[in-house]
Amino acid sequence: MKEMLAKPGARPAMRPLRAANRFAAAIVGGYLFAYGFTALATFTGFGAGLPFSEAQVLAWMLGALVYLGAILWGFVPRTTTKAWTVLAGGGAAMGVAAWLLSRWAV
Amino acid sequence: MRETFRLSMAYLHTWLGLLLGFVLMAIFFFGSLSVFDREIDRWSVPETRAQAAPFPSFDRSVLPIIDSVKPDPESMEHTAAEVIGKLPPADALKAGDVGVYTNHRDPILRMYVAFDVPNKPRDANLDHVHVYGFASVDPQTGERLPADIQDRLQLGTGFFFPMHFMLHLEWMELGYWIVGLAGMVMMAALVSGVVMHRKIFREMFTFRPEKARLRSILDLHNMTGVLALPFLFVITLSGLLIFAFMYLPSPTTLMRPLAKAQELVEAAGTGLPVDPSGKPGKLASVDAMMEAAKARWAAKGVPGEIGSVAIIHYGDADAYVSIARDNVDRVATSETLHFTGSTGALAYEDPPASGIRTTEGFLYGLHFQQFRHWTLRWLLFAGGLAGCACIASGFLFFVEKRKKKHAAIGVPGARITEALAVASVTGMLVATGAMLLANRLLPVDLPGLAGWQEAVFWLTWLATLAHAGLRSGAAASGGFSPAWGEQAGLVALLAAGAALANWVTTGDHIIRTVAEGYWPVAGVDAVLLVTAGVAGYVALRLRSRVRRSGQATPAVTIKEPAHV
Repeated sequence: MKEMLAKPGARPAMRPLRAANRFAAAIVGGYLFAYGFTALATFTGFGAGLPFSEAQVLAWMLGALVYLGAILWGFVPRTTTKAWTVLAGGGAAMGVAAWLLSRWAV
Repeated sequence: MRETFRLSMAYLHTWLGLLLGFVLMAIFFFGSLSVFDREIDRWSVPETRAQAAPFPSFDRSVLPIIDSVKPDPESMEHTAAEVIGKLPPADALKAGDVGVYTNHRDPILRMYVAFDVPNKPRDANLDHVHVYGFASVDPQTGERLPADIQDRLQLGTGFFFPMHFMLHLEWMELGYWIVGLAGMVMMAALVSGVVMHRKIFREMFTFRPEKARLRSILDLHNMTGVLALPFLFVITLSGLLIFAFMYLPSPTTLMRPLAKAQELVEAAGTGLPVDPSGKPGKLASVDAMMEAAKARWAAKGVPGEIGSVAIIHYGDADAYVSIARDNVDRVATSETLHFTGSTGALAYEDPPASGIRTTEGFLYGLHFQQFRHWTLRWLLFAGGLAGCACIASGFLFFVEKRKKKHAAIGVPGARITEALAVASVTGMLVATGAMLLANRLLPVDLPGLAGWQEAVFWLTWLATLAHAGLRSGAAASGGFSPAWGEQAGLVALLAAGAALANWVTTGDHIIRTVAEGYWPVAGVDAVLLVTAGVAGYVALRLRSRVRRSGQATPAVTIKEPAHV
């Protein structure tokens, strides 16, 4: 693997397990981020006066773009732990917020 | 992660693109075919080669057969796995909703009956569990299509289209999720691809076919990717939005009480009954409701053929009828009119779409493509194929770039990748061609005819992978796999063979269909013949190249930023 990816100007390639962890952080962590975001964005839109179903459609459009951003960003931080923390942690925080707010609002 | 943002994007582009590129190739190719799904349906079921006809009388052609539609055994099986306890026998199920639809390209009126089931779903988030039954009507005669023709596999809507969005992997809805992930990766590849190339505008107009092979492959990759970028991005995003309810259900899963409460509020706003009353009721003339709908559209000055009619709470006193027009004149989906079933009076008209709804309707419509605009339809087909070219040239670049190095150090990476690329590019075309040929040559009374055609498709595809693997020896020494050319030759033979078989088995050769102006079949045959010509030319070119490659091609070094 190392030899396969080695190239002048680039850092030595990551070991397969570390690479897999990074892909998982971007894709799974990014998904959790988008999942939490979509719920919270729906609530926000609804709170701002949109009908719930319309707030949901808007949140889906934004959620897809947010997921895209999360995947791209997941490859940027120096450590994979940071990518996991921000993406999964941020998703969980937004999800819990949406859960609590929606129960308070009903 | 890498030194610079650009290097991180390049890493992501290369490896995510490679991993999901094989799936994306299939999604884009079968998506392109699905642009002409109704036309491929006509080609593959010759008994239905008629001109599209307007919606027939609902009262005379549809109502009398609703009660004779039986639950589909496959649907029974699927639903049985989704609910707690045993389903009642098929005969005991009662029709809940009925939907009937057609469009300006379809000579078949398609109909489904959604049967209510008393069982509770296993997954509490599943709100609507039904068993479905299907029927088709010939709108010209108003007669129900004979069962043997209705059940014939229509290759466009019945095979290529579902292949496009779920890969025929139904287990745990795995196919939908793989396609969804691939769609996200497509968008990530587009953005990261732009980031890693700074001279993006110049690359849009750069194609140097005479330059070194590696350079022109990269030019092709950049040119297709950048020229078609807006199309590729929007078509991918709109496809993801169609299944967003499945991919991102968090608004309803995390906020269930609020979502349920608001669903009732919104339904109450329309005044349409959410639940059936439980009392049987009579249905007023649906034809009269269709006439009323047409009159409304005429008053608005929009084309007004009926696209779909749905009866909600069929047979109930609170039934209502939703009618939408065949929106031939625009991309976006249409508003719907709702009539009270018992009186036939207009109960509710969807309000003019808000900004969000307009955007949603446009994105849906762009992906489902029900409009009547043949230039746009062909452009979308070409856009899909540009996506295929972009993905395929990405594979080629990955392989060609590493081949010599891998050969030198004895790593099989490039060799394996090339074999997979052969199978997912030419192999997919071979499998499709073989399926079309099998469709014309297998006898129509063969038991399990649909299954045989599908088996031909999958086994041929598998065989092309085996062939690509067996012929990958050249790559192990840094050469060019002969499997590309051999499979291209096979594509040429199969495509020409399919057009020929269509002539022999139906008499509809392309001169006749063009002369008669029967474009669905003429179009499919024309695409087959063009494919045969192009693939044949490619096969010959590649054969001479493989012969020459006895003399090793000089190693190429190019300056390309950051293809890690």
